[in-house]
Amino acid sequence: MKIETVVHVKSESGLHARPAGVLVKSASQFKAKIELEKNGVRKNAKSIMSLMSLGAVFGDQLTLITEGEDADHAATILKTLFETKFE
Amino acid sequence: MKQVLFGKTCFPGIAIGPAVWFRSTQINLENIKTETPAIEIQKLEIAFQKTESSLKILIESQQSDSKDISISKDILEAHLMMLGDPEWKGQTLEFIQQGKSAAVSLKESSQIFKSMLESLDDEYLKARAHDIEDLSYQVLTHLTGQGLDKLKLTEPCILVAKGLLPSEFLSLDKKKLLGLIFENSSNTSHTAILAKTFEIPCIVGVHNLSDFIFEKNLIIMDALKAQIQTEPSLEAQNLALKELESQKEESKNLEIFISKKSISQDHISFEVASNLSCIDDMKLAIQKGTEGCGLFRSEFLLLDQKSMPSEEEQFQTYKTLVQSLAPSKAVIRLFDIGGDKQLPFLQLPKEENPFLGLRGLRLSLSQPDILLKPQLRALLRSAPYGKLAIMAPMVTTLGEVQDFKMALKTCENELLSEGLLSTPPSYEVGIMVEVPAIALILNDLIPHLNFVSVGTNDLIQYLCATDRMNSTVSHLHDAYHPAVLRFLYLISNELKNSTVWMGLCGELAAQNDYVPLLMAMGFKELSVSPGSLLKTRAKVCGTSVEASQKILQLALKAKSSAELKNLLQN
Repeated sequence: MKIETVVHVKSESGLHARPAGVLVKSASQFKAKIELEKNGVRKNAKSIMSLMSLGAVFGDQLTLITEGEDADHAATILKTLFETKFE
Repeated sequence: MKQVLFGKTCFPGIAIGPAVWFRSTQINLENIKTETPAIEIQKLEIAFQKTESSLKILIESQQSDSKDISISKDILEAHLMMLGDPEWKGQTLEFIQQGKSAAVSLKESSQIFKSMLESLDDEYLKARAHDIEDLSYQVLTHLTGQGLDKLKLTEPCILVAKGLLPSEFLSLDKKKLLGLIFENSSNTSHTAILAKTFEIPCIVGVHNLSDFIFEKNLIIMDALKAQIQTEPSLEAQNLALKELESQKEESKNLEIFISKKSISQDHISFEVASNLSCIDDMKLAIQKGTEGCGLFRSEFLLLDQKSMPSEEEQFQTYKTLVQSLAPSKAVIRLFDIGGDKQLPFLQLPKEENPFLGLRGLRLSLSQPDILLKPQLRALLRSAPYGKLAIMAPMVTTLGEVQDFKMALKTCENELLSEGLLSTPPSYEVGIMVEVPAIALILNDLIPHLNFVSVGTNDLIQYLCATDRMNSTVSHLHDAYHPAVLRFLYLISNELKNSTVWMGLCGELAAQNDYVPLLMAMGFKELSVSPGSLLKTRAKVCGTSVEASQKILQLALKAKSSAELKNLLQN
């Protein structure tokens, strides 16, 4: 199963170390392949370095792509994280 | 990134040059053997595990450390997460599969991720490239076993480090050191004192250095303003070079004081002497026209030693010192160990509060056969070669002074009966005044002493109950606190009209605005690092003691550090 979800970066510092860390930790719990896409560039959401190199800033619109057996669950959880600014 | 950083001045001066990080001992990958991918992968796994456990140990150790816990813990935890990054590791494994060694593969994959972050517009994320560099360095040290060796400077540079141990500093080629920048180190740490000794512009206490200063990037530091510029414009570079020139000119103008005696405007004689840590320091001080040595830190003889130096070895050093400085005085302080200067070969028990523990004379008296006697014997044997003064550190009671003098007498008699001395030597005996308790009973010590020397760094630390190494409170380690001035005044009153002469061997003697106050209180000997010698002498020569006494009376009434500073500046 492959799911594409639109998410928005609402944390003021963008995807800096702390939000990126929270995201990576959460994403790593899933078996699904999880990626984030910005302007056509896709990065592995389980990799902190890749995620930071996405250069996502406050207000950016990203596409969350989850693919695998728990893709659905992953998409729901990660979307919530974006909504709650990773708090 | 272009940035101006601030810290605290340790030794003033301007420097311009490439930054070299101290931790980044060059790891050489050229002679690394490459084995089969399976074995290389195994090596990588082990190095990752080792790095992970050292990071975890470091994280744990942060909890007992009170300062900036959350920040440093966050950083370390981010490092831990980066270490587990599947992409980074995946890329490394891919390179290994292509037939490269684990070390080369790691270095190359790190480079890929570093460049990726460096290409971003976001300054914060750009700075994270340095975290990758840091981390890959840590893994590489475990992979290669390198990186524990001492750093060799290949070109003139500004050395940047979190902190630096005195022994590490001492192993560097000082001729190639244009400047020093430290993240942690407080202004009065021993490395900072060494920087002053070697006259190297030095800024301490700059936060998050590794985010802003990168290996080999050109930087400008103005240590007087405690300011660092990264990626300076051409204009800024030219300005810095110009200022560097005028600085050289100023020190050239001070050169006329090399051959001058330290005599005040109203013809009162003083001695501007030097604080020394080794024979190299002494050579520099003699070139600058030092009037003797007001503090020889004998414990530096013990640094980097696997065992205790013998009486004979000690004797050779003391003899060189006493002989070279004659006819001026050489004040040699007994080993001041303990506190922040631990020695591996002595295996001293770990103390909760080393600064309040077994250090200085306390330690020497507790280990007479290993520490006290060999040193006293070596010192007494050097006495006939010049003008020796023996000084005990960290003295708290009259009883300690008596024990110290008794030990001197015993050693003297031994040497006379062994024939190592032909006649009773002449020398002076004194103590450091650092412990407030001893300052309050100095009057009782007059019959036992020839001199006292106030060690202001430690005295202020004990008086203000402030750890000078702790950057979160080091602002309270303040020589301009009215209590410090009044305490110095009290010391001078304890010794008024006695034959006991007073010296001062803390860095306070290098504070130009404070010098007239010290002169007015009757401190006859001001001992500073060789780099500050001429400045202090110029000040002494330009000061009238009589006029300073009036200023002193006003200064004693100051109610705050700011008020005192303000008074002294006008």
